[in-house]
Amino acid sequence: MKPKTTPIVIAVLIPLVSVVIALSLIYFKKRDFSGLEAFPYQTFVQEPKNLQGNKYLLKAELEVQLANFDNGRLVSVKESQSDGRLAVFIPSDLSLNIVTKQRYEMNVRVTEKGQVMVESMKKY
Amino acid sequence: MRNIFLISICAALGGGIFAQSMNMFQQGTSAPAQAAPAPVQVAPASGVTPAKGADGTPSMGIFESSFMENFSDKVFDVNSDSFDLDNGSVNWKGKTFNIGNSRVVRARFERYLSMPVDSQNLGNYKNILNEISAALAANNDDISSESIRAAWGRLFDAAEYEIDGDSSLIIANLVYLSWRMRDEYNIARAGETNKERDMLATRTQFKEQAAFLEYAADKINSKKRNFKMTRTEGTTELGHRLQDLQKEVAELAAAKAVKEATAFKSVVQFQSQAVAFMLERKFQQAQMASMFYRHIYRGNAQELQVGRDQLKDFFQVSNFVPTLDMIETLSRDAAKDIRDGVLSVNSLYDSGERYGALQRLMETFFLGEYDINVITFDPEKKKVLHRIYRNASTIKDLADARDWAGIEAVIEEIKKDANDFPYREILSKVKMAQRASEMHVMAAKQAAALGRIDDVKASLSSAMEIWPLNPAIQSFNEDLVGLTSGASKYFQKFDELMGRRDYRSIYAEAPEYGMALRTDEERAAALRDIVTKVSTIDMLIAQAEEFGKQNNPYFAWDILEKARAIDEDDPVLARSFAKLAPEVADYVKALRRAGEAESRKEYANALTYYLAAQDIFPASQACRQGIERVAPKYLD
Repeated sequence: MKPKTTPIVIAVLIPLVSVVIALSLIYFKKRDFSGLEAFPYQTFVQEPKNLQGNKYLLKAELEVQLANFDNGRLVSVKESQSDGRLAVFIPSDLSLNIVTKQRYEMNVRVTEKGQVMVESMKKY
Repeated sequence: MRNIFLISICAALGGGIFAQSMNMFQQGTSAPAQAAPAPVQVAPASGVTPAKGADGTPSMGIFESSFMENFSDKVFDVNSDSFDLDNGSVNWKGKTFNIGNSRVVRARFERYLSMPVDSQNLGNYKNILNEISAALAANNDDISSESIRAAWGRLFDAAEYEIDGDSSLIIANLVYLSWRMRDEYNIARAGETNKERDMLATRTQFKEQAAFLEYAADKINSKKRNFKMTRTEGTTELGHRLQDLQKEVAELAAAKAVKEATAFKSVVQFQSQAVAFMLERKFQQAQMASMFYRHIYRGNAQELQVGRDQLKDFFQVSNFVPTLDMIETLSRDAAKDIRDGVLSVNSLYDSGERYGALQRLMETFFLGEYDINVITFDPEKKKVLHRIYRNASTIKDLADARDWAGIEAVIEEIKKDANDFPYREILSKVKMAQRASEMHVMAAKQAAALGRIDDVKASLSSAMEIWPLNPAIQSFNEDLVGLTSGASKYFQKFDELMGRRDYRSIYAEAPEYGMALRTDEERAAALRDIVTKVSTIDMLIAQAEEFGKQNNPYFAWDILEKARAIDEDDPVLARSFAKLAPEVADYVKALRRAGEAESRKEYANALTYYLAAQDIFPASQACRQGIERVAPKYLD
């Protein structure tokens, strides 16, 4: 004979498991493959200093090359969520062909001077 | 016109057209016993050859008539009715009437406007002409010779009036001449008949005498068989008489030729005068002359022998045969147009459109200068129209003298009489001229501010050329005179304002400073710099305001930024910035933060702000330049 409490336990567990799964999905969506948070564009534009030293995942579309340096290139990108533009530095050692209008997921780091340095990137 | 007319006659006479048929005269009545003066040849009013064509003349288009419209539309260029004072011509139904040179024509029209109406009873004169026309009308073809003589007699009554100008007398003389020629023709024809009868009798007598001589000779020869002889008695006399007969035949032929020439001369003279009346625009007289002619001469003499070329100009039809009836038709048509023109003038005048009435009267006058309807136009109305005409002429004279202020005053006068006068168009041109002159004065002031004396002279000269009496020129000259006497005061004032960086105050009196400081190279150079900067800032502010009006506040801001680069302390520029700022707050904020970051050498942050600002206003020149400036320093 089955105990009377079993259905109640099942009824409580099902919504709990659902909530856990939903939270997990949200968490993993934010962290993505690298486990980084999405780049907070609005915050960055309002006060770049607040993001100094942080790392983020930046999903963006490449626009134009703004400047060329010995160790890399400065490129203007359009952030996918807000459509706002910002400049990112892509080091030469990433050895990538930069093509405009292509979308990339980039692991970026905000330096103390407010520069956005790309550490890795891949198309998506 | 007279020359052409006479040439036409000569050409016709020289062209061998004497071979007219006999019996040219229709009626056998004798000339009236009443003595009449010898025919008078009257020269046309104008001695100038009619101008051909009227291309390019301003089309005032009034003389179009409903009469004969269906017909005339086919053969006339009715759209070309116009008058052109510059060329001195009236174009009516595609035919140009010469009315003399423009000055004389204008004078004639002005004289007409100022001339009082004749004190004689012109109504009676009009009635006489109507009576004659009615008596000779085409529907009255069986008119008796007595009726024609009665109408002829009324011509002398019409000639009593000054307004007639002896035109009726000319027609009366022509009629009388025709009658006299007809009598001479009939007398000559009777003489010819007698002579022909005598010659026939003589010829019969010769025949009988010759037959007798032959008979007598035969009798003598029959009695003397062996001797033949020729009888000569009487043959000499017969020969002489035969010669006389031949001479008489030749004389008769010559007399016949003279008779035909006389008849033809009479026809030509009459037709010439009718054509001359029409070309002189004396349409009523041309009509009456044509009517008399129709009743005096037979149908085969209706074809025009003179003035054919002139009349053919009215009827542009090939193989057209002009007749006297055509002159009558044209004259009636013109007279109706003139009547309609006068009606139009009265209608416009009564409705208050007096300038329009003046124009219509002018047009009607040029076609119907000798028409009684025009001559007897209401003198009171003429007086008002004359005043308008005089004022309009004054405007033209003032325009020639470029006295624009004077024109404005006269326009005020003319508006009292004619509210339909096109003064707005004139005032617009006056304003344009005044502004052009003012701009040259301003240029002179600018040049004075920069110390360019030669440019001042050139600009003032241009200003005077456009508007010699421009008060601004006088004012400017007086200022210059005052400046030469108070230069030291301006030196001190200039230094004070320079010390306070109050460039606007200096700029406001730049021409005065320019003249006062022209001997001080250092101060003059400083003044030139200020004038250049402030005028550039003003120009940029004006551009920005224009963009603001076009709902492009970001463009406007961008232009103001350029002005700020010239002088950021300019108070007028500051007001413009303040006025525009609320509309572009987000853009301005981003741009300001970019500028601040750039000034702190935080180039990465500056680039971020410039890009954000460019997102708001993609065409921003300030953002583009900022990005180009800070991007290469991103890693610094």
